[in-house]
Amino acid sequence: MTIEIFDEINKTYSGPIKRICSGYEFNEQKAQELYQEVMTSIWQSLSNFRNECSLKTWSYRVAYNKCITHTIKESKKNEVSLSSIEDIEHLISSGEFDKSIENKNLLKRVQAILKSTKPIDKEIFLLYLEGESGKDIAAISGLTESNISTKISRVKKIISSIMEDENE
Amino acid sequence: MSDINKNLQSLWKNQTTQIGDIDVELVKKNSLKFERTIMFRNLREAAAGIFVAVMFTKTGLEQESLFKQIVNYEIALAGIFVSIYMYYFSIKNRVQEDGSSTLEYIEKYKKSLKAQIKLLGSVRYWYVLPIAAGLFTLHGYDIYQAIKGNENITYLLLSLGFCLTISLFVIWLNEYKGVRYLKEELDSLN
Repeated sequence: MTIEIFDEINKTYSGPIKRICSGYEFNEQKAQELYQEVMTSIWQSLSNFRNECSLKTWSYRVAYNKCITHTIKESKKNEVSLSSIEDIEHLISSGEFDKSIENKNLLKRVQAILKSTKPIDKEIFLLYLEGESGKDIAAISGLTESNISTKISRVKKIISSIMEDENE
Repeated sequence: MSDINKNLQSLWKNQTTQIGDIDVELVKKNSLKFERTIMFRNLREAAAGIFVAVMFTKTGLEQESLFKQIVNYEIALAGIFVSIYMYYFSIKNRVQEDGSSTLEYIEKYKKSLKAQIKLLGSVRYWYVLPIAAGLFTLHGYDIYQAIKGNENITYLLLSLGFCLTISLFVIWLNEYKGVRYLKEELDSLN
């Protein structure tokens, strides 16, 4: 049974899980390692899956939990300070955000923002990019829907700002 | 704004990642490797405790003085206590990615970090003190006997200094370096 569930996750959600990993780790080699760690965590935790939520929600939760642990360890190692979505929105609107994101393509700009974002806000950003609904994001993150809605409106503003910059 | 966001969502989902696929066999292998790492870490800690216990029990048995026998057994018991305490702590505070929501997971992680900070912050009491108390008592006793018998105490003083240095180093490493490292981790979660 465990193998069947794992195969289903691997078959159905490997694409989004790979994108989650590449949203938390920008070095390709390290992203590959993180993906393997995430899938190993999913395998090890399968006995905890009790159909209390959908398989998608459960596997995304495990993936994000693992990625958060990874971010904490890596940010400490690389001495990177992480900001909330609110702070990033403020930095972008005031033009103080890292100038190095200029002259790069859109995905690179998004990556630059994700790189500086705190783990839980990064999760909301990534789930929004995946097109998940506020309800699903709330189920995965544990935040309230109203909280998610506020954060998503900030994400939208950030996206608009960086797209405007690209069009200029 | 909605179109802009939809375009980016589509761009994001259609990006090509270089991350390769993974099969169940590789996952099983990784899982086994992870479990072995945990098992070897526990074995290493247990072996250190057993080593201290065996060494000081043996030394205790060889002593003629009852006082020195008791102090050696105290150190042996301290070695076992430290191993068991560390093992119990690592089992109790292990955080697993078990499918909890992110907020719940972060709370569990923070709780575990706080417990680890408390543990490392009190190393002088539960780790150093039980062992060092015995070692210092043994040295004190030997130095007293040597002075009484007009013998040279240089070697004993050097040995006492070594024990003191190691004890202070263990306290510094855990209570200063270790706690600071964990506090940084905790701060990044707040």
